Amino acid sequence: MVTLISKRRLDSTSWAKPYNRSLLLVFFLMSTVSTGCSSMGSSDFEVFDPNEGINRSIYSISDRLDKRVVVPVARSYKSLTPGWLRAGISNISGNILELDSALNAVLQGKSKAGFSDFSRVLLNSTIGIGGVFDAASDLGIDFSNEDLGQTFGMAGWSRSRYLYVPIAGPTTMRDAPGMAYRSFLPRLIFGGAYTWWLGGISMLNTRAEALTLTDTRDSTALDPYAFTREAYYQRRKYLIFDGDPPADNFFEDFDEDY
Amino acid sequence: MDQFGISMMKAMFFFAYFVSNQVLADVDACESRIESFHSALIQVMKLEGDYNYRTEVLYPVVDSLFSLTNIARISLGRQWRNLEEKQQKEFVDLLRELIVSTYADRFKKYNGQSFVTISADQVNRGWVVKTELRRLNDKPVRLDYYFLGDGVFNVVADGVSDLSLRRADYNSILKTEGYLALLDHLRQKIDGYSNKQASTR
Repeated sequence: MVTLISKRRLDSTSWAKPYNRSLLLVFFLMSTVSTGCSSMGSSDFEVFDPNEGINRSIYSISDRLDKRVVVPVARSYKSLTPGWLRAGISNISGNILELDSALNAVLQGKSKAGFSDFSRVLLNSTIGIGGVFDAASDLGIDFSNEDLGQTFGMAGWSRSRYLYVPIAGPTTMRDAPGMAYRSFLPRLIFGGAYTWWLGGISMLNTRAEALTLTDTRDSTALDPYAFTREAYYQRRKYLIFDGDPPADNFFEDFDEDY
Repeated sequence: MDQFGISMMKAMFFFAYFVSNQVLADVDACESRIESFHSALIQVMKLEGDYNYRTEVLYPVVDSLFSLTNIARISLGRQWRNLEEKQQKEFVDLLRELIVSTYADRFKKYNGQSFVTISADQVNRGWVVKTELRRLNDKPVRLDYYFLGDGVFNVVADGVSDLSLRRADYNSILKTEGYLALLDHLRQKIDGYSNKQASTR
């Protein structure tokens, strides 16, 4: 990236142009991002929850509300709707978020992944009829699944404070801005056409599709709060390192035995 | 180079050759053990027997693949050292029962699932075999098996480590309720799997 900048023949006046300054800022961010992640180890992404008391209280209230109100509605919705319809609604929501993924892939210096995500949005919006069908996957174009939190993670923001947000669920200070911005993305794209009930159906659909996951957690976890938190941190580390995170050292307590 | 130097070079070459061959043999052995485990899981699903039958089939399979003592000691962390030998054995037995019950609960019906081995490599102090569980009309799940010594001590599903979850979960109970409560919770989970199957029969 630095070579790329140095090769540009810029005179003293062109540096002052706002376009060039923005370009340099993007190049700087991309070069920071592409070197940031490689120097980090597994322990940098460990759970950090100094406000556990508050988070547990919020989790407890949200969980009770979820089990008593949301889950029964989601189960009824799942039993009344065919799988293809739920998949279609998930695809439409996913199609919108893939724009954000493409942008973040570019910010992380992954131009190929960014191009692939943009292609997916174009294909699914046209051939896939507004994103209802995932035509791009059928054509073998993979989704890179990037977001703003991963971009920050790649740039070196590894250790981040845990937050449990009502309705939205687990997140961290690093991931929360991206999560908040993603929730407004459909409104930004569709404007007034994206009414509250469309948002409601999308949320219900997401919850219904996650029922198997939460049922598995409930049948496995002894302390669902600690379990959810650990799973969240593990998953985020996996995504930041694009599916190849550094292995955890499980033997620190037993080093003398091995 | 004198005769001694040449002999040393030869010895070093043979040592390197032996070590690299040994590593390849170990990696191959790990891969083949995972493939046998997957075949057993497919068989269990295809047989569609009841829960008790599935657990009976799975006990020897789990015993031969997993390093239960390593899983137990890492899950409990420093608490492991405070246990007497008899208590350690009791915990390992309970963990064994829980792992078998969990597999019997999750792999109960064959719907066209298949397993594919992606790669097998040396990592840190052991080996990792990377695989994928493929399902009809659903996204595939990455399953990575980590070996230490002669057994698997960690399974990572789509980036989420089973051992890390176990350690976080058990340590939370140990901190707030103590070791005996942890044992009670584990027994309740095992009973929960068994009762669930009885109620769905």
